[in-house]
Order: sequence, then C-alpha cells, then structure tokens
Amino acid sequence: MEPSQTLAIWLGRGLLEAKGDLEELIVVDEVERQVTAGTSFAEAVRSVSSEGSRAGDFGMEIVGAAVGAVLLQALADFWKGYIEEIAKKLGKSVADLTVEQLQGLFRRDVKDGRRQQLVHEINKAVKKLEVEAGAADPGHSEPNPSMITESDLDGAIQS
Amino acid sequence: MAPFNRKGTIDNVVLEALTTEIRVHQFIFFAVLVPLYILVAPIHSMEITIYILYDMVRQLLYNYFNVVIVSKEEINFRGYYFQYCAIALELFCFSALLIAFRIRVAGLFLRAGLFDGLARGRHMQPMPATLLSRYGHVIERAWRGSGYFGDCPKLYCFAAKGAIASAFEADGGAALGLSSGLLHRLNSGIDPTVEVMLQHEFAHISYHDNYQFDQILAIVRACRWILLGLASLVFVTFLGSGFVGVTTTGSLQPDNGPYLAYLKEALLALLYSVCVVIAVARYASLVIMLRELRADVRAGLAVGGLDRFSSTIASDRTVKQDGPMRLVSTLLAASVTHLTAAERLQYLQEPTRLLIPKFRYFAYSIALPLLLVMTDWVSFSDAQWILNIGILAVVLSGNLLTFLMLTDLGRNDIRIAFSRMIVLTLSCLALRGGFQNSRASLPATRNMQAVWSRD
Repeated sequence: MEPSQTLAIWLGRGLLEAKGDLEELIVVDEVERQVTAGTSFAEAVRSVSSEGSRAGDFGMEIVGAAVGAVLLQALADFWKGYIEEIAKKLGKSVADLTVEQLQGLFRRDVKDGRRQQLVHEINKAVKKLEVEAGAADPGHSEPNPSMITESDLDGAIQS
Repeated sequence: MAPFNRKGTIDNVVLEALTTEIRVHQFIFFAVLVPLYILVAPIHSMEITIYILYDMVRQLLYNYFNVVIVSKEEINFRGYYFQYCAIALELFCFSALLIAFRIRVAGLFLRAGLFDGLARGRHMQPMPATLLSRYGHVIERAWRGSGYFGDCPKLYCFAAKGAIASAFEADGGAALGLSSGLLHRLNSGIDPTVEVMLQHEFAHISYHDNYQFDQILAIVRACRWILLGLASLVFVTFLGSGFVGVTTTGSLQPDNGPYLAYLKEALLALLYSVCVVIAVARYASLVIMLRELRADVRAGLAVGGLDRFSSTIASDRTVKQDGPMRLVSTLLAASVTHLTAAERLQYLQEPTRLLIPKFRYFAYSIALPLLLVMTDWVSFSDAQWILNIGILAVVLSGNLLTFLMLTDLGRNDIRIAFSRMIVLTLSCLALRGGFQNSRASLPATRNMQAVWSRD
C-alpha cells in the first residue's frame, strides 16, 4: 500500500469516528481489507461506492450516499499533494519519508495553526470528486456529509 | 377492501393463494423437472458419448497399432449381450449422474450452509458493539412490532453505498445483513421505505425462504454444471470423432464423408443442453419470484396494507427504476432473477391479480422448449420425448394449480373464477396444438441412428 493510501485510511477512520459516522467505518475496514489483499486502492473505493444490489436482496435498488468512500478517495488525493509538499520543504525525496514521520508532521501542522488550511484542502478534494461525479454543483457551497470541520480534524489526530 | 374471503381481508387470501401456487410449482420443480432434466435426460448424451468414444478408440487402435477390437454393431448382434451391455451402460450413466449431482449439490450446500454464499461474497461481518448499541434496539423493535416470535435475527453489516438489507442463514440461525448505506439512512430513524425493506426480509426469515433459495440455487447450479459440462464433452467427442475419421458403418476404413453431420449433431447437443438449463433456471426463478412476492405481501400486511407498501415504494425517489435489460433478464436469463420493481408494484396495487396463477412467467418458462418442439429445424429427435414430458409436466402443473386455486380460494368471486377457467382452457388447447405440431414435424427430425447408418 502506498503511504498516501495508508495515511488516507488512518485519517479517514479518525475523521469518521470524530464525526460520529460509525457506520462508515465499515467502508474504511472493507477498503483496507481489499487493498491488503492486493486490490488497487481505486478499485476498492469503487467497489464500496457501488449501490451493491445483488440477487437475493430486497430486489429493488435503493440509492444511498457514499460518505466514507468519497472521503477516502479525497484523502488519498490530498495526501499525495501533502507528501510532495513536505518532501520539498524538507529537501528529501518522497521515498525517504515514513508513514510515522508523516503522521507526526501532519499532527504538528494541525496544532501549529495550519488547521484551517488543511481542512479547506481536504474539503476542496471532496468537492472536486463530487463535481467530477456530477453529484454536486461547483457554484454551491452547501455542507456535504463527506466534508469535515476543524473540530473533526482535531478529534481525528488525537485518535 | 373486497369482503369476499373467509378471513376478513383480501391480503390474507392473497397470502394463501401465493402459498398454494408456490407449493404446486415447487412440487413440479423438485419431483418432475429436476429428476427428468438432470438425471434422466443426460443419460442419452452420456450413452452417445460413450459409443462415439468407443468408436474413436477402436479407430485409433487400428490406425496406429493395427489392432482390431470388436465393433459396437457386432456387440449389438450378439443377442442378449447387447441387452446386458445396454442396461449396465444406463445404470452406469444414471449412477454417475446421480453421484455428480449429489457431490455438486452437497458441495454447494456445505459451502453455503456454514455461511450463506451471498453473505460471504459481500464479506459480511458480525455487527460491531458500537453499531449494535446504536441500531440493535431499532431492528429488534421492528421485529417484535410486526408480531414475530423467537429471537431477533443476528445482525451483520457490510460496505455498500446503496440501502440494502439481506436475510440469510449463519451458524444455523437466521441473520440479517445491513449495508453501511442502510445504516446511514437508519441514523435518523426508520423511514417508511426502510420499514418496508426490513419487513420484507423478516418475512423471508419467518417462511425459511433462504433455506429454500439455497436449495433451489444449488440445484440450478448443479444442473448448469452437469448439463453444460456434458454438452461440452459431447461436442468435443463429436468433433474429435469426425477428425479421427470414425466410420458410420462399423468399418475401419477412414470415412470423411459425414463430418458436417457430426458437426451439426454436436451443435444440436450443445443447443439442447443450453435450452434445458434455461428452462430449469426459468422455472426456479418462477418459484423464487413467487416467494419474493409472498414476502412483499407479508411485509405489506405488517406495514398496514399492500397499498401502503406500494405507495411507499412508488413515492420514494431513492428507489431506482429498472431498465429494459432487467425486464429481459427476468424473462430469458439462465440465472435466477427477481421480478422487476414495476411488476412487483403492479401486483401489489391490484391484489386480485395475485389470486390468478402467474401464467405470464409460467408461459415464458415453457415458451422456449415449446418452440423447439414445434419447429423442426431445432427438434432433437432422440431426446425430444424428454422435452415433451417436461412441457407436459409444466402445463399440467398449471392446470392443477388453476384447479386448486379455483376450488380453494375464489369461490365467491365469479370474475376471478372465470379468468382462471379461460387460462385453463387455453393452456389445454396450447398443449394439444403443440403436440400435434410436434408430431407433424417428427418425420423431418434428425436421428442419430440415421447419421450412423448413412453410408
């Protein structure tokens, strides 16, 4: 698993717990299970984003919200950019940074006042995904269940 | 509500009607179609394969080692030896099929029995304590509120965006799997659609439908496995025999003439198996569809009436409409399918339609073999009697069903009684017409013996 994916799963789990979306933790566990078993991260997220009806169910497809899946994909996109930024700042290559180091640096960034900017970046990644999927209007800024707040981020880095 | 039944509401009569219909169709499926199509019909294919393999081995032994073994025609002429050989061969084929069937069904059951295949495919997990404390009592209240006794089903969860509930068997007990999408929706309490869904799944649990579904699906899969496996074997054998140059006369001189005839027979054997697999799957689907419909009726009763069920689903914009491909798959696919959402709602909006045998689906399940019997270009000569008996059984079950539903349920409703009588008469006429046509087309059919004896 790439560091951006490991970190997306770590932060996604923390954020969902902090938001109280405990049922979405099932999605995070399933993505982690699939990626550990060798499925690509994108494919695992896609599989949990499908409606998922099969023969033997109620027999009618009932549309739901992919809160956890959207958040995980957005976090993976966010971490890619964040890791590159950190590597540049430290003058190291991306491969030299460990997951534990990145977690520590991220926690420090949140505590040192970059909280608002980080929340904005994560929410921008969420919004981008939803606009790409045609599920949101780019001009609107209404709250969306996959978006996070600063207190969610505070709760997440304490876990 | 029409007060024309003995228990006070039309909903209860509908439940009884569906139960009668399910019993009749299940009897025909398990007692006639499965033994006929899976255990008797393939004997013919196996015998032909063995004959051709024998000829191939004989030809190859002659070609490469100059060894001559007795031809099957010579065995045939040695009086009672042939009878012994034929009986032994049929017994061998029947036993082999029975063993293959039992191994396959037992294998599917063993895998499904410990933990339902659907649940395993979705990687369902027992619901964690954090979620149980949040949702367990909501589900339990819905279970008790609808009058079910016994323990509330064990709760499982799985990741999926859609709102999905699925009843299944786990560790010998009833279980209910809920998707993350459904749990998300349950966050703000049980809305009417979720209530309908839960009651539908509870109904499956109370009727032990999941066990029956597992059984039927295992049989359909075993049928597909045996028939298509055998058809492939027959196909390859036919082609191989044509390639080796097996003669049609018992002579060991290479005979390249009837290769096209072999190819034609090979393709027909394949087509025949595919048609039988579809016929079995469609009939199994019919039984499953009826059980689903009965669960809808039971859920409707629990939420306050069939009209409440249908209006809840019809007014919910999160319920996706089925596309035309779904309708086609409910009619023709070789896999087991549900009725479409629109069809289910139509039935629930007009409950009297539920009291009439579902001849529409019934007709689809026999249309294909009937077509095959009536048109000489795809009739199967030696194996045709098997299709005839299958069709006869299916039509007879329709008549028996009509008779049962007529005498048992519809005695106070002349309109329903009249429509059933029309269906009964039409099915008899269709059967008669079908067999007349089939007899008329017989002289034009191919015959394996004719191929073999062609010089």
